[in-house]
Amino acid sequence: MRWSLWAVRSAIIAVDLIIAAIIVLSILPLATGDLSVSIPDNQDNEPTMEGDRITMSLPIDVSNYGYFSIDDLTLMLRVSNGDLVITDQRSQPVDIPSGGTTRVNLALTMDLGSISDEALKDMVFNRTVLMMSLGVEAGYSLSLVKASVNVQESMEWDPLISDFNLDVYNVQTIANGSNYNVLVPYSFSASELINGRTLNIHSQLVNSTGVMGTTDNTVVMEQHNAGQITFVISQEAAMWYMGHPEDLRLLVDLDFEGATMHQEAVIHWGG
Amino acid sequence: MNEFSLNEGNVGKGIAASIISAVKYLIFPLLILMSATSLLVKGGGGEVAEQLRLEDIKYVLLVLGIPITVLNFFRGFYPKGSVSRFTFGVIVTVLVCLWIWMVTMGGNLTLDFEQFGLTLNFTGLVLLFVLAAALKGVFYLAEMLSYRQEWLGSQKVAPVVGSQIVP
Repeated sequence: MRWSLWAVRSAIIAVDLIIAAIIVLSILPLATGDLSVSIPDNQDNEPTMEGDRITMSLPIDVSNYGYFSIDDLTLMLRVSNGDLVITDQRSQPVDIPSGGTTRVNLALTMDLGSISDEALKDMVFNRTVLMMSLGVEAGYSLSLVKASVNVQESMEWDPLISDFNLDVYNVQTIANGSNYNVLVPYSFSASELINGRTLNIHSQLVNSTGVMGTTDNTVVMEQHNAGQITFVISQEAAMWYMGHPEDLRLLVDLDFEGATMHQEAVIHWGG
Repeated sequence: MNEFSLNEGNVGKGIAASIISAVKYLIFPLLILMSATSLLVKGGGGEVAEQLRLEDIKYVLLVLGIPITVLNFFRGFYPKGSVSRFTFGVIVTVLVCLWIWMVTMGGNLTLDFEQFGLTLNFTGLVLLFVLAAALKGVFYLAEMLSYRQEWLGSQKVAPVVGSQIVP
């Protein structure tokens, strides 16, 4: 008996058998449907906003009746607006043991504070198309096989603040003691996500020679918002315009969490 | 005593070893590859075939499969216990390891489409395959050592009938 030959041949057969077993035991559950992923019904997957953070929670049920555990299951989310990356993050890795169904709560947060001003402005005030890349990464077969799947999809993003309107045709001038109040009605809509949060409206009324008045309004937002921007001007100025009509420029800056939008309107006043 | 002499071998055993390796490393893989390519192209998966670099793999199969087949002839041709058989065995083993690594693209598979991407890393599994193939090299060493005395014995000149030793 040539023992050395027998030993090496046995080692080769053992390694071959191990490889064959790993491959068969890895592929079999996929073929028989023992590995599956589903999103549970009746789950509230709406994003929530706390402070500056938008949190998206995604519970998924991973059924693993295969022979190996799923290692380091990680969810990745990258949202970009053109070249601007809005968020790029990974969830905490989770191990899915074999022989059962495991509920995994994958939570992804988007910190508005960390988003660049330009990207934030687009998201707050503009209707834009965001590119969303959702990826799943995991190891299987004693981590000998690692797979990463990602799906890219464009996503229409509705602005958080929309339809801002300055009603320059219904400007009112009301006497206020020795001065006059100029009231400019405005309206806008806000996403449910930011209801209860504040929007700062900084306004200036400008004539051909300079700034006539400035005012700051703070609005606690609801879904539909309407109000008035009030400028106080002197009686002399008001009387002057009665006889000398002029187009006044109304400059408005909306500020939400550092994202600003500038709006201008012309008020034909006097005459 | 020339261990690489062509008079020392068995052509039949060489051809048998050659045919087995041709089927294993050339013909069978090529058939699978061409069937897969054809199925993918017919099924509209031409881009998948392109991204899997099936044409490159075909080239690798030819470039490494032909030398493996030719060198395996010599491994089978030379008798057990000879350094020549061991040498060709080791060269074939190295080429087979390279063949496995190249054909499996080092265990990295990437498919990238407009809206979908898949990356598969099975380098660990490929290294297990390479380990199994590399053990064959150890096997050739053990084989040579086991049969060495036998082979050396067969190389001694047989006495000629009727001859006598002159002191």
